[in-house]
Amino acid sequence: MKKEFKLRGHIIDSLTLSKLLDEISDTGATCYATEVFVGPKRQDVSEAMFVIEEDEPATMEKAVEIAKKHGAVEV
Amino acid sequence: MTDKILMCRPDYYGIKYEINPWMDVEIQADHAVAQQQWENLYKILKDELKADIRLVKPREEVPDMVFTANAAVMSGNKAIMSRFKHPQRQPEEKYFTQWFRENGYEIITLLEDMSFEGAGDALYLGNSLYAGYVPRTGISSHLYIAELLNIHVISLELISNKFYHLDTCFCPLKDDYLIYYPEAFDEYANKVIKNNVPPEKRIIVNDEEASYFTCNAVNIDDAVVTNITTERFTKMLAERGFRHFQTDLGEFMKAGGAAKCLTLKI
Repeated sequence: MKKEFKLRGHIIDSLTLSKLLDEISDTGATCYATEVFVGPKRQDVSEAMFVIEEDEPATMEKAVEIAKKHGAVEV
Repeated sequence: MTDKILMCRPDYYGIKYEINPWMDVEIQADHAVAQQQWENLYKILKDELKADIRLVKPREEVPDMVFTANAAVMSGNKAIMSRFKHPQRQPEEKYFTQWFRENGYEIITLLEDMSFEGAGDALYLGNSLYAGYVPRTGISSHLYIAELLNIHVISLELISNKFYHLDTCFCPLKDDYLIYYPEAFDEYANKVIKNNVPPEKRIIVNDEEASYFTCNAVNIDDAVVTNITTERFTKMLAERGFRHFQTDLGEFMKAGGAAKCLTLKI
C-alpha cells in the first residue's frame, strides 16, 4: 500500500519534516520525501511531498496518524 | 510605551469541569481567596508596573473566561480569535469576539475545523511566532496564521499534559530572553529552541519551578510577574537584569493557570 502526502509550513526551521520522517520510519513503514521546496525568505513557507509505503494495515494506520498529527495532508 | 493588557474579573471562576490534569471538581477554588489573588495581580500590573488594564465582562456560563490569554493572539490591531478545543470553553469565543469588535480591533477567525488557543499557544520571540501544538492547538492553525500574517511561525510539540499550553512552559522576555521548561517539549522542539535562542538568553526552570507555573509569567519591561516560586529563579532573573514580582495565584493553579494565563497583551 502506498499513500502520498503534502506537508506545508515552516517545516524546515521547526524540524517538522525531519521529525515526521523519523517518527514514521520508527513505526516500520517506509517513508521518503519525493520533493522539497524551501521557501526563499524567512517568512515564506516550505513544502514537501512524501510517500508512505507499508503493507501491514495497522502500521500504515499508525504512520498516517503521525503524518496528520504533524500537519500533513493526504493527496 | 505602556503595555495594554486585557483581564477578566473572576466573578464566576471555579472548577466546574476537568479539561486538564490540574483540574479536579472535588478540589474547588476558594472564591474569596481567588478574588483577592486576582486583585493583587491586577494591582501589581496596574499600580506598580503602570500597565493599561482593560476589562472584559465576566460571564457565568464560562468560568475559565478569567484566563484571557486564551482569547486570541494579537498582531497589531488584528485579533486572531481562538477556536477552543474543548466544548466547555467554546462559548468564550463569542464574548471575546464581541469585546474585540466593540473596541475597534480587526477580527480574524480561523477555519471551523481548526483548534487554536490564542496567546496560550502562540508567543512572539524575536521576529518569529512560536506556536505550541498537540494538546490544545492543531498544527494546521500555524500554517494558516503564517500565511495570513506573512510571518515566520516555529511549531513546537508539547508532550506533557500538565503543560498543555505553550505559555505554561515557555515565556519570551524583553531583549529576546526566554524562560522555559525543556521537559515539556519533545526532543525536536528542544533542538529548535537551542538553534534559535543563544545559551546566554535561556533561563531554564527546574521541575519544582515548572510545577509552580513559573514560566506562566507576565513581562513588562524589566519586570517579571509570576506565581510564588523559588529564590533560585529570582536570582536567575536578577543576574540578567530583571526585577521579579511574586504573587500567590494558588487558587488559579487549581484550574491550571497563573499570571500569564490571566492576562492578554493587546
